[in-house]
Amino acid sequence: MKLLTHNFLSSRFLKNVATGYPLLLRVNEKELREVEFDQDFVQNIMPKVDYNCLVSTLMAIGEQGALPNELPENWRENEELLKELHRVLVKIEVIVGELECPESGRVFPIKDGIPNMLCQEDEC
Amino acid sequence: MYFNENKPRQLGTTFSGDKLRRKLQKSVQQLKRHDADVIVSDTPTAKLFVANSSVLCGVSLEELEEIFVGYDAEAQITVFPNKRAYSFVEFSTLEKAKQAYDELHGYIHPALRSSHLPFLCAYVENLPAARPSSSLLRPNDLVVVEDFVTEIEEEKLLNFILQHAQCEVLKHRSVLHFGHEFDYSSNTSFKKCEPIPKEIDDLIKAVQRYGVTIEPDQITINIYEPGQGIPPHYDTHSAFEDPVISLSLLSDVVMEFKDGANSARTAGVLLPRRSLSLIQGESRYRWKHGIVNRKYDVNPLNGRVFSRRKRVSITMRKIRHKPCECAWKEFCDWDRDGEMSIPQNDSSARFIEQNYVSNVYEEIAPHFDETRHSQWKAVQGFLDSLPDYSLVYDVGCGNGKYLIAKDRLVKFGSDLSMNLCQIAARKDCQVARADGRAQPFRPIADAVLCIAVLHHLSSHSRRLEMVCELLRLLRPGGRACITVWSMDQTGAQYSKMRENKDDTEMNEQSKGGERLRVHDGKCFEQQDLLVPWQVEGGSTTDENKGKAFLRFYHVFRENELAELCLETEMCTIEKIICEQGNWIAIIQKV
Repeated sequence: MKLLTHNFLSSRFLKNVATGYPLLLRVNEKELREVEFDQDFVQNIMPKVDYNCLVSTLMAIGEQGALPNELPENWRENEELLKELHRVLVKIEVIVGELECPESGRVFPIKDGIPNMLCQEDEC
Repeated sequence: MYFNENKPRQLGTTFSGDKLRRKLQKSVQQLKRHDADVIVSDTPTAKLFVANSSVLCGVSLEELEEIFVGYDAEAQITVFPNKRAYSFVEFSTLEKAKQAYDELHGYIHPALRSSHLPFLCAYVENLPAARPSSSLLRPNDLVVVEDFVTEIEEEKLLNFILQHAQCEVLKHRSVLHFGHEFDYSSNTSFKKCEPIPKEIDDLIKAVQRYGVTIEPDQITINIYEPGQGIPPHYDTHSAFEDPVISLSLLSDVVMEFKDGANSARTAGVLLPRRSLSLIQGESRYRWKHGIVNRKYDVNPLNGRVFSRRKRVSITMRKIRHKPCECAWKEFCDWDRDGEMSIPQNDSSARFIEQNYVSNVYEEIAPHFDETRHSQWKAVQGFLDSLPDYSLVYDVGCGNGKYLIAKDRLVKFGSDLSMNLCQIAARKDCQVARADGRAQPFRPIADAVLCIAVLHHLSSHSRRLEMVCELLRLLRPGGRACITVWSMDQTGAQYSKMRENKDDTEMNEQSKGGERLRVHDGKCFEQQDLLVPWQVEGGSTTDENKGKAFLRFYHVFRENELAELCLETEMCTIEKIICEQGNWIAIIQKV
């Protein structure tokens, strides 16, 4: 699971959960994948990415690196920043870990890089 | 491939010279490839190899008999229907073989009714060795006991039967009942009739030496004239216990068994004269059996053609008084206390989806991945219509076939099957495991795909919940593409694949439409059914090779998908397309 994927996951589907976002991420095993830098991609995806979720998640897993707490206005022109965004969004792969619903505390395991978001019929 | 029906038919002409030699050479090469044990002889023998003489070339057994019996009334024909383009003919004398060779080699015989190819002949020293019976497809649990009665016992039984006056003449055969009468309109038997005579009672006692514990109380004797048969059928589960016992008298016959989970899977089983068959277990509950109406049979072991003669069968069954509890409940004629009924409430819907969708996809995932690649035009058109970098969720993404394309879309997938998620993840797709009705994504998608998933939900309310969930994922103005199977399969790939299957024979035994039925024909006869998934023998990696699984489907009527979408009151319909037996809806969230 890439952090890009994590940015779009939510546990809103659970009963009595209002937003279920962002999911708290704990990592037991991760790796860095080689992915070619694609400036267009980063520039186009960032408006859809929740930056606060990204930064808080990076902090939680010790990967914040050079990313500022808030996205500067000129981010589109800042190649170094774009490269760092690219690194954290698509190069980091979480292999084993878990996701926790911020409201209900329900935990979902991540195994083989796949978050298992399946719940019992009466939970949703 | 062997036979072109558009070619002019030059009946009565003979090929000769180099052209004929070249044609024969090609056919002999074919022979050497398929049946390497056959030795071609330079000098005449009584056995002929005859190319261009099989049903693959449009030549029927009747035509072969007609042509070769003209040379030798005792000619013995050996064929390999649907497997080889050639046959063998064994003559009673060398002279007769020579005469046939001289007159037929290179000749397009005028008795051929559809083939336009000349027979190509060669003398051979031997015929292909019989195939070991273990190599033949055969329904599990079927037992055939050869020489169950002696010739003397056979004669006694026949004297008794054929002198009995009470024969009832049916369309294709005559029947006689003892113990209880059999009702051919309901396929059950309750009414008492003439008691079982001593002759048959002795037989019943003899059968019990073969591990049969039931005591048959319903005897049906069938008298078949040459060429007569009986349509494929199951002996009604709830009417009779296991096994169904049958004794063959007077002549051999080939009984055809058809797998109820895949009617293209057929097994011809030779029932020799004086043999006893125990149709039990899987062969009784899951396979249909019948005898084709035809003048000739082919021995499945050695390909020998033999003509049908008069045959008598004695079928012994025990009437069942308690409901059937067999392990083949999908093929049973009652709904098993609601377990196999079309779901009427949420818990039975869950049960059906767990057993006939979720569990099955986990099992068939590798084979599913090997076979699912083609993409539908309308789905591709939908994806092409999306602006670059649109956010797309593929709900029920399967092996990831719509996720892998490098198409400037930002795509995430989910699937209920963990094995399919793993297969998609290995292809670098971004996936999460989730239920279609409880999606783990932020509700901001520009587009949602839901391809061939909605029809696996087994109640209207669950299908409606799923469409609502798809719409929840979309931003206002976002669009979804939903595809489902159509009840009308005209022109669809699936129905082409099933062309060599039967037209659905309505399961005579099933009354009322409330039971989930196994689909084994070309047309869908009801909307909620179990559809077989056959893991082909060619599949290389799969431990489920050759196994059949049943998946639940709700096939959609015209307008049903549109009505379901509108029922959510959350969308407008952009268009509804019918493509290859599927309904495809493009909808927009309001």
